[in-house]
Amino acid sequence: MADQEDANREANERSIVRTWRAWRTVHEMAADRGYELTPEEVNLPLDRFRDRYISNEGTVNRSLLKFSARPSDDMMRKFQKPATPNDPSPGSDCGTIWIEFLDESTLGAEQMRKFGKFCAEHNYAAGVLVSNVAVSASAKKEIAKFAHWTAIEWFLEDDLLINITHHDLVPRHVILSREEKAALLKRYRLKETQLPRILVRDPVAKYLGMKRGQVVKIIRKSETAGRYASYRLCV
Amino acid sequence: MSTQAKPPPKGILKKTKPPTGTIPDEPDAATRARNLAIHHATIIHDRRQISDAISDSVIALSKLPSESAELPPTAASPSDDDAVAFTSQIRLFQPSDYEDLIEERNCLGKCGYVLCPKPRTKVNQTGEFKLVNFGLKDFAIVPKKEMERWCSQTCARRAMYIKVQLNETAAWERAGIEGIQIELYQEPGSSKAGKKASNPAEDLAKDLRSLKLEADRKAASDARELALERGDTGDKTKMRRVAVKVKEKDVSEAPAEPSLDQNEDGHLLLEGYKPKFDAQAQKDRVG
Repeated sequence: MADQEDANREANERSIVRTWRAWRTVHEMAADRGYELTPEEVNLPLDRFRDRYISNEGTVNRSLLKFSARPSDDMMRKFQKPATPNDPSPGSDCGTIWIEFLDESTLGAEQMRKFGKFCAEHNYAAGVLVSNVAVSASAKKEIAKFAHWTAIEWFLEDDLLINITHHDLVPRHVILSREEKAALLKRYRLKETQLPRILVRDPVAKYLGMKRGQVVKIIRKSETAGRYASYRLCV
Repeated sequence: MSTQAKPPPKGILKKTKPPTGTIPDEPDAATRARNLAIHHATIIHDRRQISDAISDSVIALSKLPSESAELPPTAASPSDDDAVAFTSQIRLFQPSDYEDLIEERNCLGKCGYVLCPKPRTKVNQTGEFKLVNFGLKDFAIVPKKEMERWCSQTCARRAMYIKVQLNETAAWERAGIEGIQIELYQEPGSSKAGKKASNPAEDLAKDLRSLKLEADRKAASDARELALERGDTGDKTKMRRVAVKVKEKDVSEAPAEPSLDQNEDGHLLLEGYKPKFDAQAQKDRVG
């Protein structure tokens, strides 16, 4: 009996730590993308996480794990839409982001549709759903249907246990704005298609929430040149 | 003075053509283009609606069977409402949509067969594959994923019986055809099978219906193939822009038989030139 309880507690403990790590990585991700978050929010220690989000039974209360973040002014400026004669001061591509941990044990098309509707109705420009179960094919199709109103992204909790961009072998990735991209293509007299490519489903591209057509600048260390920048088009 | 009279120097660069693809100013062309655009937009709209309906029914069917009846339904004898809902909604599915439905149900922890209320099996074993019927004649190595989709072998059979009836053609091409009906698997020894056997007239009528439908479909496809062979493909003939006029050639005199030339050397002419080479004289000189 005591053994059983011990095992239960240990499993709970493991799941708490995992969820805390994913929670922290999600915050770092939002901060890296340029959303406004305080350092206290990003570097939440484990004991504070326990105080806030653990229910009476000693398990994580996942229904509390949700937050929204506003884009910073820098980010708004960076993803400014191009001005047209009809619309001289257009808005920005980015907007408030909604991040939520899935509270249910299954992630089907219905849950995804509910999440998409919620994000679209509350005018969130982007929505991130973190689940600890894999998603079905029809749920992935639902994501595409909401593309017009809100950009839904889906992450597996297991993939967020560590922040991949902090790894030694992952160089710094910086997304270029529209003007920077135009300047780059002009400087090297390139067409878009002549750039090297990066997939949308690339882990770092997913981390940065890249969209098709954006260009990322990858700055890596080089033995001979000190630093070397290369550019990749997201496809 | 003379320099002024000279025409301006000609550029060696390519002439830029006026941009093509713009709609001409004529009102007729503009309305035609508009109508064409609306026509295609409605087609796309209809297709979207059908694919939306399919994903709605994937969600609806993944929740079946409903738990309303007092005696719990089983996969072998589902409640009538569920069976009707299933067969009517599955009509437009492609096999790939059906696979999605099975995956969706598995995601919710249910057996892949829509009318089965049981949870799916869990194989308590790590590793990708599982040995089935070890030591027996029908021994097989099966992926674990494949095993975990169903609650039992019979449910797999029932679900696959539905799948083979589904059609690979796009849903919007089949949307209007009422003749496409999906049948549930006839349980061996069930009361329904007995009823069917006792009513041969109904069976015959159904067979005739399906036969007629098949014949209609074949005639339509034959006509389409013939049209393709003749070089006109459906809509394009209607939209042909170039007016074809057949112009007869004027005939002034009656046709005459061809005749040989009056000139007797005619056979010697090479493209109208008569060679001066005299073979006989050449031979004499050499000799």
